[in-house]
Formats: sequence, structure tokens, C-alpha cells
Amino acid sequence: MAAPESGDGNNGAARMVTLISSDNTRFEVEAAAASLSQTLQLTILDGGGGGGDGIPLPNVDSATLSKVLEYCIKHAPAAANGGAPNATAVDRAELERFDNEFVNIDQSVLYSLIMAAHNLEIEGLQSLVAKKVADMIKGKSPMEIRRTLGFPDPTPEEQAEMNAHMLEYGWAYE
Amino acid sequence: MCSMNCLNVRARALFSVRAAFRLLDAARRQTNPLPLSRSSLMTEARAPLSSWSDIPLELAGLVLCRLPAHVDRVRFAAVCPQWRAAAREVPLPPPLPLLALPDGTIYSLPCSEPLRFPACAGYADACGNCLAFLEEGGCFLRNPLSNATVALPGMFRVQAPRRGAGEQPVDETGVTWSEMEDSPEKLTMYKLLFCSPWLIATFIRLMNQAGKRTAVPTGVNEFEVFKANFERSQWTKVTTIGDDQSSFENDDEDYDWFDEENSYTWHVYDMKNGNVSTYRPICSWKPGPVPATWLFPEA
Repeated sequence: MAAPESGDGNNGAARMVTLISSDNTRFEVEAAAASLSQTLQLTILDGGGGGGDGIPLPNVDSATLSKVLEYCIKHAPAAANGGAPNATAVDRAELERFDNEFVNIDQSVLYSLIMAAHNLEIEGLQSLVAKKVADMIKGKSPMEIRRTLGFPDPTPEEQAEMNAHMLEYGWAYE
Repeated sequence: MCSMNCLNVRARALFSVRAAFRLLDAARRQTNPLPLSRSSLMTEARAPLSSWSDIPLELAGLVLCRLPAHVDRVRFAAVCPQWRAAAREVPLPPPLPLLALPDGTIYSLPCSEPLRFPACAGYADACGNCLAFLEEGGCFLRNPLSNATVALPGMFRVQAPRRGAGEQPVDETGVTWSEMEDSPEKLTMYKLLFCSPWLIATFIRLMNQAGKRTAVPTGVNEFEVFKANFERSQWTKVTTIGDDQSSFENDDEDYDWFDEENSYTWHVYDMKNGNVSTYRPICSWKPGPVPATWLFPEA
């Protein structure tokens, strides 16, 4: 295999890599987009993921991977510019609008996303979902937070610990 | 930080208070760290975690970092044992201070919802992270957030400066100090200063020496600018924003992060651009002998 290119667009078509989800779906994506993942970046720099090989991702299902790649593809051009210091205000506003809509989804999908972003080490995506979760938590009581994030009913042990905490910090439970 | 000069007033009493709150906290804490989850996704498959309660410490930290209000962090810690462990383990920037009003209402910045602390109404002063209460049996400090209390020593052993006391020892400024004969009823606590967890100084007013209390600068156009020093949980007076760009002394404008003198509302003064803005919560309170005060929760 030829020496891997760190950028794209030098010789016409961008380099593509193949990612394989846990349910064996193959995703072909530009190397630049997949490289937003620190974990994948190393493999890609080593020349992996090209041709018929594909990089298996046994912890990420196809629905989640598709969503993750949607984020990566959108953010790849800005990331390639080193955080896009020259980006116009319009570009930045567009990216912000995309981000806001991107995380406007059910908590269960957010959960899969942040876990995938963590496993794949995609810093921007982790931060984006963490911010969304923080916004969902703000101003809510512990029980409301549990409901919002789809926690199962507390076990007796959990309930006992919550009660003890409530005795100490009753003011926070209003 | 309170320098020793602060203590050099006409009457003084020093209280040595152990870091009681810290000890209390330490006793409650159990070391139950969550393992820091590191991914090894491409070599081994594992069953996906199924609940928000099991998110890795690192991710819990990312969420917590985006919760600047103290109340939100406390509630986060209450959600489940794993999150409580995360709130203990993850190093975080200090939360924003809380604004306590004399009627027992507390606002946890930057959220706007008022929190009710009936046990904190009627405090006489604030001291570090605690509110000071004066009662017949003596005075005590209460941490409104944990409800822990610390009784302060009585003030009847206070020493007062005397003139012409002859054989009494004289301090470096030439003032003689001797134990007072006055009864404690004649003493009023004027101001408590939290110097360190081990030293709290109280400025007292003697009833029979009316008008001799420590002068505090007041005036329509006078103000002082304080910077929130989160590491020390207190305000630090500033006269410049660095490089002598700006001096706040004798300025005609009435800017203060907390303008207690006139408006009894609070505003944020941006020292970089000079703008004054009103942030949520927008609240005001009636002027009275006891001011509203800031509380700095420990991170």
C-alpha cells in the first residue's frame, strides 16, 4: 500500500476508509472525517482501513456509527483547518446550528453517542453531548434527572443512599 | 487575605477554630473510586453499558464541568451512587458562589430559582462559607449548605486596649491590652473575618464606647472592587486589572460586583471591557442592618 496521506485533495479523490459496525454494516467514509477519532487516526495513519480490509468497531452498532459519522463529516473541514481560525462567522454559525440540531434527540441515542465518542476518542462529540446532558440536568431535582435520562427505578440500596443524601442536602431536593 | 493589620483594632478577640467542617466532610466520605474506563475497542468486544449511571468517570466529569451552579452539582451527586463518586473524584473548577439574603433565601448562581433555607434566616453576619448567628447562649457558625454548626467561644474573655495601665505589657504599636471587666451584654459583634480555617477574627463594638467603631468607607460615589478568589473562598480587593490598566480608586462610577451600599441588587462588572450587566437571578432586598452575603461552596 502506498504511503498514507495525512491530508486529502492533493491528488484528486480523497482517500477513503471502511469502518465495520458491530452488526457488520460497512461504512465507507473519507479518511479525514474518520480521523476525527483519535483511536482511528492511528490506524489510518498506519495505512489501515483501506481496500477491502475495513476497521471493525465491535462496540459501535450501525445506527450509532451512522450518527457519529454524520458528525465527523460535518466537522472534518473545520478540523482540517486546525480548528478553523479563518472560518467565517457564517460557517461557525452554521456549524453551531448543526450541533444544536444534532443533539436534539432522545436520551438513549445521546447515551449511545457519548459512549461511542468516548470509545473512539472524538473529543468534540464527547463535549457536545456532555453539554447537552448538562443542559438537560440544569435546574432539575435528582428524581427529575433520573426520569429525564431514563434511569430505572432506584434499587433499595440506591434509595437508602439517596435518602441519606437528602437528609444532608434537603435544600437541593425542592 | 486578611493581614495582621486588620486585627489591630481597638478591641479584638481571636478564635481558634479547627477545620471542623473539613473533618466532618472527610469523615463522611468513603473512598469508593470508580475505575477510569479506558477503551480498547478494536481488540476486544464487550457488552455495551446500559445506563447513564455507568458512564465512565471521564464522561461524568465532562458533564459536571458544564454545571457551574453549586446546586446543580449537589443534585448531580444525588442522582445515583456512581455519580456521587464521580462528583467526589473528578477535579472540577470551583462552582459559582451563592447569594444569601437575610430572609433565608439563597440563590445558586447562575440559576434563577430561589432556594429556601429557613434555618438560615436572621443571621448576624457571614464568615467564610458560614453564617454567624447570635443567640443568648453564645454565637455559632452554621454552614447553610451542609447544616453543620460550630460553636464559637464566648466573648467575655475579650481583651480591650487601655491607656496608662502602667505595668501591663505593651504591643508593638504602643497600645496596652488587658482583659475587660465589662459584661458580655455590652459587647456587640460588629464583623467576623474568616482568616483561615484555623483563625477567625471578630471585630466587636463596645456599647459604652458608642461611635468608636471601626470606620468603614461609605459614600454615594465610593466603591470597592473585589475579585472572587475561588481558591481561598473569599473576595480579594483589587485596585487594578493588571499592567496598571485601570485603577478603581476614587472613580466616580458606581461599579461593584456586589453593590451593597445603594441599590441592594447585584450586578456584574466586567473588568476587561468595563461593562456592567445584570445577570440572572435578578433579585433585590430591603436595606437593613444585615447585608446580603456571598457564600463560596467548597468545590
